[in-house]
Amino acid sequence: MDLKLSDKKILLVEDHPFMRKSIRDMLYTLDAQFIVEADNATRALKAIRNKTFDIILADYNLGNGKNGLQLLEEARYYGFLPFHSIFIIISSEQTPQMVLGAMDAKPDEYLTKPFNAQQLLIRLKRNFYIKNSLQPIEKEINRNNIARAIDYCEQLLKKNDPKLHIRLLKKRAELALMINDLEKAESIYQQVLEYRELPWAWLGLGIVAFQSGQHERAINIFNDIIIKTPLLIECYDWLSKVYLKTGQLDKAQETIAQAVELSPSSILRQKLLAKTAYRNNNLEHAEMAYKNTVQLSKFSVYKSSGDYSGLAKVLTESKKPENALQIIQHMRQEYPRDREAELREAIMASEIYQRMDETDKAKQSLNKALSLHQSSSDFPEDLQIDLARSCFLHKKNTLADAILSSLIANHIDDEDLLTEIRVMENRIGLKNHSEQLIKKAKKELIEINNRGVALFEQGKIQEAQSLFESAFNKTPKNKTILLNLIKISLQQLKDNPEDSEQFKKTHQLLSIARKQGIDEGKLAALQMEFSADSITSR
Amino acid sequence: MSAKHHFPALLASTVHDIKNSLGVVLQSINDIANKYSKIPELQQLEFETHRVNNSLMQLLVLYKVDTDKFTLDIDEHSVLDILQDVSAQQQALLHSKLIDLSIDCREDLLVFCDYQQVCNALATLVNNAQRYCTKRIHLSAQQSDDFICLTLEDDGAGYPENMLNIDLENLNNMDWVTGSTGLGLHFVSTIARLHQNKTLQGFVKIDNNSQLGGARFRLFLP
Repeated sequence: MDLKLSDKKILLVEDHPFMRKSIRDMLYTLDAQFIVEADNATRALKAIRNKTFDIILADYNLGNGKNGLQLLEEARYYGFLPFHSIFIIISSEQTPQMVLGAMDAKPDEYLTKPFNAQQLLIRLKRNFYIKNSLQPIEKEINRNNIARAIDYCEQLLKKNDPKLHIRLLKKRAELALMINDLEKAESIYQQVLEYRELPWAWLGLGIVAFQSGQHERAINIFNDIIIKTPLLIECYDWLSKVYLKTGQLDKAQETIAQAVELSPSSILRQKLLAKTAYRNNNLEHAEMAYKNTVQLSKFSVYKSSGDYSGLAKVLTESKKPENALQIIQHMRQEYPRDREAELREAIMASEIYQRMDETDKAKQSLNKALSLHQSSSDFPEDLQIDLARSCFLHKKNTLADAILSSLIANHIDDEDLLTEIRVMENRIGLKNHSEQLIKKAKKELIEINNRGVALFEQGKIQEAQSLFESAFNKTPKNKTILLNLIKISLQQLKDNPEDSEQFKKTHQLLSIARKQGIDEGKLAALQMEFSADSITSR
Repeated sequence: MSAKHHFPALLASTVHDIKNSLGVVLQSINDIANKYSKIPELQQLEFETHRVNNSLMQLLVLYKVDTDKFTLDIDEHSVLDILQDVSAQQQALLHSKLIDLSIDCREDLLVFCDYQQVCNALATLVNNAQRYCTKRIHLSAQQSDDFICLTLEDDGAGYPENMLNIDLENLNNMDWVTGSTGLGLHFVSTIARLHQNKTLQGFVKIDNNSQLGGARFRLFLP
């Protein structure tokens, strides 16, 4: 395949003026005509936001501020990078630490300095070939039309292009996982493994075992992989997920700690370690991991005021209230005019001052927190749990219960959140305080669900819809109810494909579901089940 | 732990640092060479710097292998891409020495390997070969049972007798007088052995059965 750079838009990110010029000249020898240059990640991100580039060449080391991988991470996070863009990280050495650091951002290529035009061209050609070939599949995934993506993938597989074959099998298995078609995913991974022992195929088998609830088997598979390829960091991530799911907190913490040791610069792993260690009552480790998180995320999209208050909470419980106070003051400097940070500060201050026996200040802070909390219903759940905790600590149990009962009603189907609430209550000596509430909410949800499903099955679609609609209005964040409502809307739309009102409503619901972090796979599976043009390609 | 035991780590981090500087040096030489291509001293400078850089890279990798901090980045690659990349790395040098490098490989031949490491290992061998060959180097690849065999042949005097019999895997038997040839061969043999599939393991073979009459090096990857 011939590749012409003359019609490609290229972004070159390099802080060293001398190196920048050298690479630019190299690109010119390859007939490049459209080159934008940036000397740091912030400028590069601005450029990426405003323009679509075919090729982005970014040095790993960009001086102060974000590095090349963080630039990629951020560009992906904000959705600025279309699939067809090729992102290449240039570095003076391919250090595993750097490669491993990336959890959510893998570049298309790592290119080691020094390199010449010919070497660059070989990399570009191979990536253009792959991207061009897989583009139709990715496009459908982006549109959430998994059925069609599978269809395209199958078509391409039939063409038997050896250069794409393995890649397509991997993609096909990922698509199967997305719609929870575990059987298909497993058979592909087995097929690949018979041909070649590739770590991602082993990992896939473990994921299939995990998704299908075979936790023991998943643990065994993941542990085997770690013995064989101890640097495959994703494996630790999955193993810790199984341990967390099965309540084996010690092992979860240990596994995450191993992953962190391998890739100390991964913010998300440090964050997870901090939370798990705290849950595990391992305050010393929690403090360290929170400190690393705050430090690392300074220039990252994953920077969050929640990490500061998490650290402050750990410090308070470790009987270092003065240090905790410093942390929340630091947080306010980092987040000026940020309502969430202001509220977090007030909540933590009420607890810190209480610990320092400054009762007046503690009371003032709590009152401030409560009035800030009134101003919006959109604060993160962990913050609301923190507020409930402060209320309990100030013996304002009625206020605490009000906050918790709303949280529980909305998230009764979210075991993780219920666990967070239980952990919080345990820590302040209120073991099982909310169990009654949880039991009641669960019962209510089951009742509504059963009634709605029965109506639906009797063909009383309209009645089922209004039942779930009223439940949705009461607890808008309840995922079970939202999913049922979406299901009914999709059915209505299937029956009356011309109903534009219903169409609008359905898409609104879907976008709400995405915003609430409902598993894309679940949504995709639903859409597939009820899709009007019902493509079947299993 | 005594200070003595810190030495390998200290060495590794220093090598790393030197490599960063060398990267800049090499890129500048490249730029100057583009402007004033006919200066022989500059070519010598570029050649030597490349050698230092490659040796350092190999030392670093070997250090990481030794301390279990190394993992291959295995993916499926076009063999022709690899051979062309190797040729591109050494092109300027070969050109200046009027050495002809030819490549013979099917376009659809694929291999599972760590692209970066295999390219660097082969480039070092080509670099060595250009010192010993007369005027031709040939790179080729083909399927050989369950392996892909990458072959490098030259038209020089061939490997000396004592080298043909050494165990490349065992450092104790290595004749360190051969200098960078020794390191290069040890490196490529280490990288080869890390390539595994099921019961098969990569390996290297050297002999003097070159079609061109000189040395022949073969890298077998499962």
